Amino acid sequence: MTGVSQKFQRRMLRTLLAVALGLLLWGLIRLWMDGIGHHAALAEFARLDTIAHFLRAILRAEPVALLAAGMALVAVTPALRLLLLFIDFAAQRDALYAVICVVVGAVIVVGGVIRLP
Amino acid sequence: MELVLADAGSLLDRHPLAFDLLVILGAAVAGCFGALVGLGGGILVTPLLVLGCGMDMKTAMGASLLAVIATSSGAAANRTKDSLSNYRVGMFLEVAATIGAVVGALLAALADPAWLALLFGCLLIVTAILTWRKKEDTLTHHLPVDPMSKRLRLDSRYETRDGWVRYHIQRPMPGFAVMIAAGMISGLLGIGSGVLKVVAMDSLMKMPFRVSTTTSNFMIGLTAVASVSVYTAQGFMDPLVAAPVLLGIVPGAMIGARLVTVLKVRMLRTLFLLALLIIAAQMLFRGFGELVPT
Repeated sequence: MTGVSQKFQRRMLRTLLAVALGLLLWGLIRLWMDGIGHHAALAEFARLDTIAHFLRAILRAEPVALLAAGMALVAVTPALRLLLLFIDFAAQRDALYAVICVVVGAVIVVGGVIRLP
Repeated sequence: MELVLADAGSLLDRHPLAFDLLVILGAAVAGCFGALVGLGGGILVTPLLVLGCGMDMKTAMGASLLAVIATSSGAAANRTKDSLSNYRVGMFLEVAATIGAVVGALLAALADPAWLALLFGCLLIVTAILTWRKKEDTLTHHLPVDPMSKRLRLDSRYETRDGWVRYHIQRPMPGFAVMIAAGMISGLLGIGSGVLKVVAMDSLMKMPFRVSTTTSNFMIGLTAVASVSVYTAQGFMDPLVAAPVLLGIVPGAMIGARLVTVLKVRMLRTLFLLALLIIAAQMLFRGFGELVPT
């Protein structure tokens, strides 16, 4: 990975993790203040089943949506590192490893769409 | 003696603040000790939640996987120089590890939690043994060039105090096969399985130890995100459990990474490994207890 990519990656990871922790803390404090119980929170979480619902809940700063956003930001960090690596390999015209990055990304996406009976 | 401190289900419902503070503190300690002894800390999160708080095994493993991602990304964010990681080896092996992780996570969704507890106990013992082995960098530039490694352009070099040192990657295909198993264990038990990855890269593929640890750190985040996608799809992600874990483990790991240069780690390492064996016994006890009801 080039020096520029490494520097950008470090800044991106720091920013994302800081924002994620901020959202998680904000969400937890809101949960404590609003007195939302575990089961009610899980029901709220289940309702965030579409991007539109999720974004609306974020805009209303609903506590469970804030927690979900924080978790999503943490979960997305390795995927962004993969994307940076893909760009890096593509820029070096390294087709084999660019394709490998795509394959790994595809496996991650497939894992998220499989539903067990 | 079972180490259940509280019924977390009811604690989380009746005293969410107490639950959150307990988990934040516990995850911070896990992250700190994990960083001090060179483990991610995620391996301690599941026992903390299951044994310490009485949580459901699969929910705990989901939270642990997020903790693994956070510590992996946190370590990369704080590393000033990244000339050690071999991204070609990392990506080549990640194909196997992510496939294994998805399969492992699907198996975890179907598995009996008691069996998962037993497997986790065994894994802790293996981790303690593997972590006990003190490793030094061994020079591998004298090894022959492996034809497959040459075709995949896996050989590389890394910087030492004496300049750049070349190394030749050996046995990439057996390494690939081991990574499927490491990925499966990661998905099945909600851990990063960095120790297994390092052993495969270091002992089997003859990658220098420092290179294998930094490459493994990059890999565990990707493997964990493959499992997280399955855990989320199967409904094993609980934001009220994951949030305090993340809030504790990230600062804990950062503190641990700073303390590692100040503290005498050898003593801590011994204590940590003993603690790991005690936790392993607790997990085995719990698993057997659920399988063989009295």
